[in-house]
Amino acid sequence: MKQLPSKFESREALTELIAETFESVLIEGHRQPSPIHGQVLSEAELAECIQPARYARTRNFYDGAVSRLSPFVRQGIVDRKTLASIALAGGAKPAEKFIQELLWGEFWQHVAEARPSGLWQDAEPYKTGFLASEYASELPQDIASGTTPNACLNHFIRDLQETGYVHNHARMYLAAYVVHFRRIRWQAGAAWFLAHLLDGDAAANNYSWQWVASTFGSKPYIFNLENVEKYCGNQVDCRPETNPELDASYDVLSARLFPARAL
Amino acid sequence: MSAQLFWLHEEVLSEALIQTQAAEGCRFLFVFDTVWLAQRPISLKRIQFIYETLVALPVAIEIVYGDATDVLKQKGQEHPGLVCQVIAPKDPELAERIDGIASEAGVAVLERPRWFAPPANKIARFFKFYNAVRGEALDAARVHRGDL
Repeated sequence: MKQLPSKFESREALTELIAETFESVLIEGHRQPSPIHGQVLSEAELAECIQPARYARTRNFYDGAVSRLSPFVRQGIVDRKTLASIALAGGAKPAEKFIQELLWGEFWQHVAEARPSGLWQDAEPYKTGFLASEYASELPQDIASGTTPNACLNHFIRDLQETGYVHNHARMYLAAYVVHFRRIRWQAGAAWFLAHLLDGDAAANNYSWQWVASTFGSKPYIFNLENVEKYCGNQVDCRPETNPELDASYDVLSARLFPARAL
Repeated sequence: MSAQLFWLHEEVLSEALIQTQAAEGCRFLFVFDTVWLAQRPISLKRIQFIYETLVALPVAIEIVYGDATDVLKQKGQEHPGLVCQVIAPKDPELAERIDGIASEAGVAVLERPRWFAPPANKIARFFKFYNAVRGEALDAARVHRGDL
């Protein structure tokens, strides 16, 4: 048992203390802090982050007007009801989509409370034509190190590991890649995300992985390079030659990834 | 009975909560629980984000690294009759860990505040859930002044 200080000369001094004190429990590597600082936010600062009308139009784009407040919700620094209340100040109609997304978090909580075993166990069988036993249980090194054959995915992996924040759409791409393109069990990917995401919340994270995997949904979620290009193309390398595994139509990918399902 | 010691955990770093408790003369404890961290390994980034928030909060918080069961039991031994409270977390696995510590160390677990009452039935699809809770959620948010 060790008493820890509450005053530090610099951010670097805190990082140093954590690296030393928490050495035995930290995941391997990755000893840098996030550029996102833990802090208390004022109502004005929160309101600045919430632009419901722009959010509704652009949230699926990598550079869309998302609030990026999820790490603060995760630690209880602010709650979802407060964010909904701020969003509603600009009118109910423009706030609707933003509030709907807040309610996704409440939904995952509801699901996890009803089925806590689903945090780490398949809620249902895969609908991919494969058995759970046909999926590998470990995350491959090229994924863990962000050196997959696909530049756009490596970009998202750097976001995850260097900042602890990944756009929601990019999370879905990464999850689909891990589970369906590489046939890794979703649990390995979910644990990887939870270790790094500042907003890592087991209910939303793990059940979302299950949804992508199809173990909590009716079909597997997949994507192709064209989709990444549409939503992230102005920020991320989406050239076909640097993303060879993703450059195909949905029909071709489905046949390649789920051959038994297509029969 | 109001708490003399409030045990904070990673889901409840709310300034409003802390100020309410501080006004009643409560002290605060946060434990980086080695048992929980071993069960749910996380990166330095996540630890630092939590730690930075703790030191940014406007009251003094005792911060400890160790097995939370030992820490809380020691507090009870040092201060017989101590009233210690904790808010139940959302995470079912963390809730299980905290329940275990609370029963061993004599800590009262308070129900967590909710945005709205959850549906009585288990709902496994989002839009069914959304349609069931939307009205109450919006009403609650409209009258909410914010935890600020």
